[in-house]
Amino acid sequence: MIETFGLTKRYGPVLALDHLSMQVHPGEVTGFLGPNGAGKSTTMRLICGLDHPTEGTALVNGKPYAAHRDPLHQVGALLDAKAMHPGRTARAELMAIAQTQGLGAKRVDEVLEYTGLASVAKRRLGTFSLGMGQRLGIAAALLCDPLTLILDEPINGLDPEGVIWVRDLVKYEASQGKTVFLSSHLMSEMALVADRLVILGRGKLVAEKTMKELIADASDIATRVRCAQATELTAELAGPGVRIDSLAPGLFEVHGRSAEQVATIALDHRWLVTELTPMQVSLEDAYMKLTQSQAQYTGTAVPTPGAQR
Amino acid sequence: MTAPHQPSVPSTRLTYAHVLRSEWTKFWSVPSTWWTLGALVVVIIGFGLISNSSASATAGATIRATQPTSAAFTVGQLVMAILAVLVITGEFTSGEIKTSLLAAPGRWRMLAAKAAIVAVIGFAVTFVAIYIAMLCGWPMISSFATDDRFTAAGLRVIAGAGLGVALVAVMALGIGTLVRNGALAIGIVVVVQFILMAVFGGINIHWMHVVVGYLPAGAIRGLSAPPSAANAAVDIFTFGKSLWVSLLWAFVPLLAGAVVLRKSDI
Repeated sequence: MIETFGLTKRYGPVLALDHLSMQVHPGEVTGFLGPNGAGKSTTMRLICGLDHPTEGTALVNGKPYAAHRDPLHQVGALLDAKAMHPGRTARAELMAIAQTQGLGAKRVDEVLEYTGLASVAKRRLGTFSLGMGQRLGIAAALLCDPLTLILDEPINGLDPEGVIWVRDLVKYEASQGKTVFLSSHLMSEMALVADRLVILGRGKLVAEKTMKELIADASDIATRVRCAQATELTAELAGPGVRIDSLAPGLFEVHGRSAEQVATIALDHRWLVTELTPMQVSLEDAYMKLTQSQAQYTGTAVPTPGAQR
Repeated sequence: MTAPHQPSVPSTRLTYAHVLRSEWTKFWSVPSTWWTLGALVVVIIGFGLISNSSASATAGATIRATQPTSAAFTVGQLVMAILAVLVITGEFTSGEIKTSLLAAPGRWRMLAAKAAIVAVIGFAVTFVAIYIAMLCGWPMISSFATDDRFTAAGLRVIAGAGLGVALVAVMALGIGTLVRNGALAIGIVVVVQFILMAVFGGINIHWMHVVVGYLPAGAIRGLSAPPSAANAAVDIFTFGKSLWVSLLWAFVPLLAGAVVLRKSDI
């Protein structure tokens, strides 16, 4: 369980986090989304006590993180996979972390095995790839089998097998009643694992919803239609609250009319419809809609090659 | 990676002893520790032997078997200070500090453990290396020097040097914690330990010599001075006074570092 109350962080003139109040519940995977610079990593650092809030509080399992006498049993965090000494071996790094809580070599070897690092346990971290560093960071987070997992971009740099492993891992941990809080820029990945979402924009809470609620809210469901008489059909469909995007000759998307309505009109005129697809709103679309105005760093739109998406 | 299954982990607590154990592992598991301690042993023995080879009978009865101590002591302080600075600034450079403080969020435990380790290692390595330098160098001066190799007074001289190096290491750790930057911290240590000593010590004005006595490198000379030396030179303190001044130089930066570490963002 993670709770923040009016959590605020100012770095000099920059307001990185602005009165964030939220809850992350046990037994679910909570995804943490937001554009670059929205304050996600700041929030995670404040929760873990690495930075001190300008205002407000963050509690983990009922107490500030630093007040726990068994901190790594409360929280396992991956905040920065490169936050390790390059001259140390993977095993020594984990040993040092385990020893702070009185754990020893047995547990370290278990976790090395569990995260697939057993064969590189004696290699120096300076020789590790980003993906291996991520695995080690996850290993460190899991060392004390914590009640709460906080993972900042855990799948960055992982190979496909690692991505699937992390996906299974976070779902499994949540099913065991653990609190799982993870950030990722990969919407498709988030859509697969998260039960709830917390979305930040410019340091403020934009939304705190279940995945279903978020997608339902953003739903302005479009229907993709392929029809030889597209021009005539679009003329018939037009009306108040209806938007039609022409994609190619004979292919368009209609907003504000259901697939059934499109089919009925086409049937009345005996026009052959060769494709009729209700377009599901993806998490990515829902997210982009919510955060469009919040992004601080945006690139210039790149033209899409070809008309089809 | 295997299928998700977690064996149960015994619940244990964060204690100073556990953090000390962890810092001990961290200290010995980076190559820079071995390089620096190797350098410390080499410079102590090397300078000790050079010092003996240049000693001559003309100095008469004031030469003792433990005389390599003072030469070895001065360079040893610098090498150990560098190691102590690296022990903390290396964490900031690599980002390891985040991992360390996630595991020990009270922060003071980590710094206190590092202080204990650099002090104990600084003392032990200096003591052993000077002892070796003394034994190896003895044949060069045995014809004219006083043999205090196995006397309590001789041991006290060498142990005093070890204590001095330990306290300089604690000071350097404190400075490293305050500035978080290895090069800057080593620069500050060099200025405090050597440059100020040279500037004030080079001018023959009484009050400047008094200042030299209170500088850390000046104060710790009294820790390893042979029993009669305190009387011989006005700017070398008695053991007791040296100890107090040196402890202040060691622990004021360390406590300041601890306060700043606790209050600041990582």
